[in-house]
Amino acid sequence: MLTRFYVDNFKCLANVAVDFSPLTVLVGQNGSGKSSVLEALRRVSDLLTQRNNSETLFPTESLTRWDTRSEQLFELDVRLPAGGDGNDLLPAGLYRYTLRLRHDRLREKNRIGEEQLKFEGKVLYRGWLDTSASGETGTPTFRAHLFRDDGTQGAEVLGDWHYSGIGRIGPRPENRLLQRFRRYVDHLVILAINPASISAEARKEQSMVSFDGSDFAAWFLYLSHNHGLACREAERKLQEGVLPGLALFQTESEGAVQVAKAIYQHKGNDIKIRLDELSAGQKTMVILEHALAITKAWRSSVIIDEPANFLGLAEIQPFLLRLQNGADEGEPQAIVTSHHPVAYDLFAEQNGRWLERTPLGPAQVSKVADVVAGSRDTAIPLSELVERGWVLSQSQTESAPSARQA
Amino acid sequence: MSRHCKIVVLPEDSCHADLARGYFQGRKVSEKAYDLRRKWTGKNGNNAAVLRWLCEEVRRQNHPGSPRYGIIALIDEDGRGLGACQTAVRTALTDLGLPAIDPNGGRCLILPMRNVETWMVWAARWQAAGSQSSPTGPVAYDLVSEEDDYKKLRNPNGNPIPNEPKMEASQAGKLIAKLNPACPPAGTPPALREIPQPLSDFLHWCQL
Repeated sequence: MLTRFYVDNFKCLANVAVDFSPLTVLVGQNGSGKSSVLEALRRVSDLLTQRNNSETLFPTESLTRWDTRSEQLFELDVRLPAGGDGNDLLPAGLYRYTLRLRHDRLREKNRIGEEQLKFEGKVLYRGWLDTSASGETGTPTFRAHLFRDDGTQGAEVLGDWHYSGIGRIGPRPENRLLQRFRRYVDHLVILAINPASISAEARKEQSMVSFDGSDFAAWFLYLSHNHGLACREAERKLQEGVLPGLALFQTESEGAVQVAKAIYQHKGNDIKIRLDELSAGQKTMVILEHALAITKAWRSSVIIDEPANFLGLAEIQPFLLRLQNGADEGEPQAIVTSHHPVAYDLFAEQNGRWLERTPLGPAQVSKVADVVAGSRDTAIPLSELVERGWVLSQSQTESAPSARQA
Repeated sequence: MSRHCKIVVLPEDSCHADLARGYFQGRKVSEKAYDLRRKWTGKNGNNAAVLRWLCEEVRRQNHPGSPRYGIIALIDEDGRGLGACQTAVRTALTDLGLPAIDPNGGRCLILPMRNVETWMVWAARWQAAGSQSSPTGPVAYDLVSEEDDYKKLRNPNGNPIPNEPKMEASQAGKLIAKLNPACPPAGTPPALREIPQPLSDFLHWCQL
């Protein structure tokens, strides 16, 4: 599971580290940086999995506006349990992935300055921009050292400074540790669902859904071909929840495209409703259920920006409870942002991270438990304390002890 | 009105909420069947607040227009004595002309001695000793003292007691869900012995 994410010089995140538990709820006021944390995670994972290059993912505008530095730094800590194929188990341990990007603000370009992956402190991969070998042309080269699982150094290769080298290394018997990390990142499902953008049509299958869920149909096509059990599980949950009476959720060919449809039976006839004809809440739940089912099967993590948006009141608490119950069992890990009172009152005090920032200042992260510890025990739910503006960080509490009375 | 007979859970603190959630998970009760919410912020609960909340919910439950729903309140004994706590609840309900706690009527009260940490410590000790389920023993671990406060780490004399490992509240809830109400294992704390049967009756009333 993801245990820590460090970001420096990305949007409002300057020198910020967020620790994650099996269930983590990111809470805070609007503009405090919650969604930026998830967006940064999504971009790093897209780079690592070769879905895009550094210039597209990290344009110059992604640099912190008030910061004049031109370097962005990301660190991702992932702890994975022992596992693997057959008798040859890979050990449990902590991975640390480091990505350093160098921006040229004038030309609005960037390059990967350094990319490194360590397992339990042992280097598995290191790539860096070598300016010493730039020669007469003045063009640096990107070099990479590969290391075997036993720690011995393997090949040294030249790379492309716009793409992650880790994503390009093919699986070999001597780099199984690196491949396991890559597979984990490949299976991270990170979502900020926008129901209005969701299309019912897909021309080809896609192994991961986009951040906004717009290409869910293409992902569903892939899931239904490769992970039938997870799709059945999601279908069952939809039948119990927002799509009562649903007979099937499947894709059907319509010319050159496949169309995702909810199929009901009415008086012996099939009634077919395209995914894009469902309500916003139903579309959201279709994606959430599939995300939950597949990350459980993959034993990975599901990361969702505002999952309670668009859902009916009766759906929100059961969905969040399922995230908590799943996290208790160890899979999938769930990281969510939320403004919903249930998220505050039920989960945030134990599993919450409170984000806050001053206008044009960097985001700061603290544990909600620590923030609440600054207040007295009170017969007011946490959500109401936040609503009334009475939740203060420890630093604020110390500097303004009378603020609560005011 | 509702597809489910909802259970409204009234927890005092986050441990109570987790214990209830774990119990329902252990009994395979759908997350849609219960409403779990806290009305209290901070480390220490407030049994008076839960009692007021309980009265409010029992009044609603008995309103002719209300849907059928069950209520579980979790209140720590906190050294007041089990009898005194039960009397306080009974009096509060009677004074308002409300029906008494009755699992077969959809009203259940969970009253751990001191607090639920007592049960979390017992669950950890029981599990560490191999989870022997015989109701007649032998007991291969130190019995928990219901007089000690494992949350504040004090004995009745106010002297400190060691901070020993506790089972997560949700895991302890799952474990309680698996206990045989008729014959819990030897060494089960007396207050905990009183819980599985009423809870089973309550779920039966809720038809879950």
